Amino acid sequence: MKSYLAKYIAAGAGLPGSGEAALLGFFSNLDLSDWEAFLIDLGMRRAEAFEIIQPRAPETLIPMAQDFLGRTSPAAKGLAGQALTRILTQLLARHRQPEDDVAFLDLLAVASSFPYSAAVLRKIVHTVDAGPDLRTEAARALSNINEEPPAFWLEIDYHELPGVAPIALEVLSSTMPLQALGIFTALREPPTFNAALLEPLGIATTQLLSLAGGSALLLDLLAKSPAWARAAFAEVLDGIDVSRVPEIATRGQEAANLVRILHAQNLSARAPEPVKEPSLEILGAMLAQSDKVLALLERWSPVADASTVSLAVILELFVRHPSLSAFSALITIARFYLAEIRAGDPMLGSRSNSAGLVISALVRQDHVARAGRQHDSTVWDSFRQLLLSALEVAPTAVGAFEALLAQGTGPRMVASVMLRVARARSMAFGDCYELLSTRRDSRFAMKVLRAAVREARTMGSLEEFGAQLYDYSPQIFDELGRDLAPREEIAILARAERIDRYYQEDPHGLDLYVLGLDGKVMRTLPEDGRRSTL
Amino acid sequence: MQSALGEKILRNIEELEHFLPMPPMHNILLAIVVADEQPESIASSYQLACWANNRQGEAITSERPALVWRAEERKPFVNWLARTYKSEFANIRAAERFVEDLIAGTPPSRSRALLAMTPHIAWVTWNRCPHSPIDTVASAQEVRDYLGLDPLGRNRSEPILLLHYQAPLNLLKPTIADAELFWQFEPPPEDFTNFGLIRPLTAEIPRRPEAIHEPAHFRDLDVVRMTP
Repeated sequence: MKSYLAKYIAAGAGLPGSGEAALLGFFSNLDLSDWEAFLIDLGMRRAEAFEIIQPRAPETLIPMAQDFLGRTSPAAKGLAGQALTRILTQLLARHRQPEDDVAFLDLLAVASSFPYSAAVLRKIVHTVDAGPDLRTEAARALSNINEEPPAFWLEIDYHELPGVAPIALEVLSSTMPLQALGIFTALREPPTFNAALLEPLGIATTQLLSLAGGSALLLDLLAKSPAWARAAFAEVLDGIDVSRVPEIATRGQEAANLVRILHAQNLSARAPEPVKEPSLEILGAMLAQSDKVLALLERWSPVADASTVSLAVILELFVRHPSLSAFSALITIARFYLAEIRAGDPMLGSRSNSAGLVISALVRQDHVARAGRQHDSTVWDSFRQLLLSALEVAPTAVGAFEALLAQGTGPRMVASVMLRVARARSMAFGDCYELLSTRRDSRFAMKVLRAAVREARTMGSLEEFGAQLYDYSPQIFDELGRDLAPREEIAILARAERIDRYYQEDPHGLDLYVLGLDGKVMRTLPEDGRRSTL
Repeated sequence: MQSALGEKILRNIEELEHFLPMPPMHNILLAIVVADEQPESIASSYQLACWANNRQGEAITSERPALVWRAEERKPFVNWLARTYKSEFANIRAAERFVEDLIAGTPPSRSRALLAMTPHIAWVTWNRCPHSPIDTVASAQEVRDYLGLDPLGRNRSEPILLLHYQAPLNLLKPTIADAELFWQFEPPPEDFTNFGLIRPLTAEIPRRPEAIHEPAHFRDLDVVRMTP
């Protein structure tokens, strides 16, 4: 047994009610080699690390470890920092396998809890061979420790490490807004416009405007900025309620003038379109970026974190702009996410979320909606196939099904999806039907049910579907009864009522009965002349 | 599985579980049988089998609640947000600000409204009887006591977040596979079939309803409370 695990058991820190003191006492009792062994196990996500941290879900192992380790004593943090420095230095020096990089990223996150590991994090940020992903994560860990002098952030080469720009903005936005904005406007290429960047950009802009002479400084900065930066500033200023920032409100007229000037500048830099829409330049840049990322996906090349981030942005773009023709791009993205989920990606939650977004974006695509209405089988079949695989692996059913209904999709497609949703247990049948009947009229709902009966019959799942329908509402089932052959109806009822003898003909040939296990009559079919077909 | 946790899990499997269908139960038993005899190996094998067979309980059979409550330890939740959604939060401080805004009642931005609130499975409860509303509980530790959280008592000095949101359509009965290695979980008595029941930290507290669901989104949030 590993030494640190023996100490854990001896400390009783894993027993109910043992409390925080037992856990922190255990950490204080670890020596340098114990820390090394424990941190390596944590980075490699070994069972021993799970036993000690006891997360409720595998994804929360590192977040919980960050919390516990952040509460340890300064002495324990010192030792842990030393151990982490050793591990990270060794990892940096050797030829790394992909799994090493995963552990490396985890350990960089853990390093956020130890100010003592700042030196090695700084070293990683400045080591070109470490690659942009690890360098960016090291910078993120440093920003969480939050002890670096501003000069550190101002000296980074953001052309090499554009992913660090939002982190630097976040760190400097409150205290050095002009410098923070300077980092942003000096970027040589348009960055990814996500919340991680735009939020600190907004904070820095607000801070600058609240300083005396701030608007003049901002105007001066804007004069030297590329068009994409001005567009971003216009968007950010749109989101600032100047009346709620007292420092700006006192200079209300000055701020109002600035917003007007910005809009004027920004509008001149792009085609006439609503102010809230991104400029064509930004769209162009994002689409160009999407081509690069999609090319990688098409070749099934490993997609680094940075590319995954780009992917999320591209996705957001397509969600917001259904008129952009992105059908094949979205199909590619969806396949990527689904493959990742199937391969057991540890980020299952966010991947499923992303897969759900892709499906929603696809459903909303004008191209797909048209195909659905016009029965364009080429487009429709690809979409349908994808949707069905998504329903198998990702918890995306509700959103996809709702979107499908909102889109005016025909009853056959809705029926097909509903059957699979109910079958994959992503949603209960009753919930599907409730959504269906609240979003569309009852005539349409009945058409869907009829289509579902036909498809279920083809798929050999009529009994299962019928029994679910009967469980949900015997009245609706009765209405649908006309579409069923008597034998089918009896088989469904037998399944729904959980009886094993289906039917028995009245000796006088007048009626049909369904008998339960106890021999009692459960249901009598109406006399409608269908007996002869049995 | 000779530890106290192992004994408890075995009791759950052998005597108490009745929401998990046979095929996944079979898979889990098989994983225990084929694992090495080392306790760590059994635990790891059991956890993997649970992971592969979770969300197999049926939908709850009582009336579905309109709103549900879920509790999250604040700091790990913020850390998880920052770590999972790097395109939304530049670092932990940005995620912390987001959570503070939610507590203050500021609705999330459009992109953040679409983020999932949990990584994989969410455990929720709801107010069935008027005399047991979880939202009026005064302290973080009382919330944990009621919800059976943090049985090791490691977070007693820490605040907790209560998230109140629209109940997703698919609320499922929780099973041993969903609970994995969680200490406090215990299936309800065999004659209780409507939904799961939380096992609180102390015996005096009545058992509240319990269900699981797939990740919901921040757009579904009604209110977030921080209990110190």
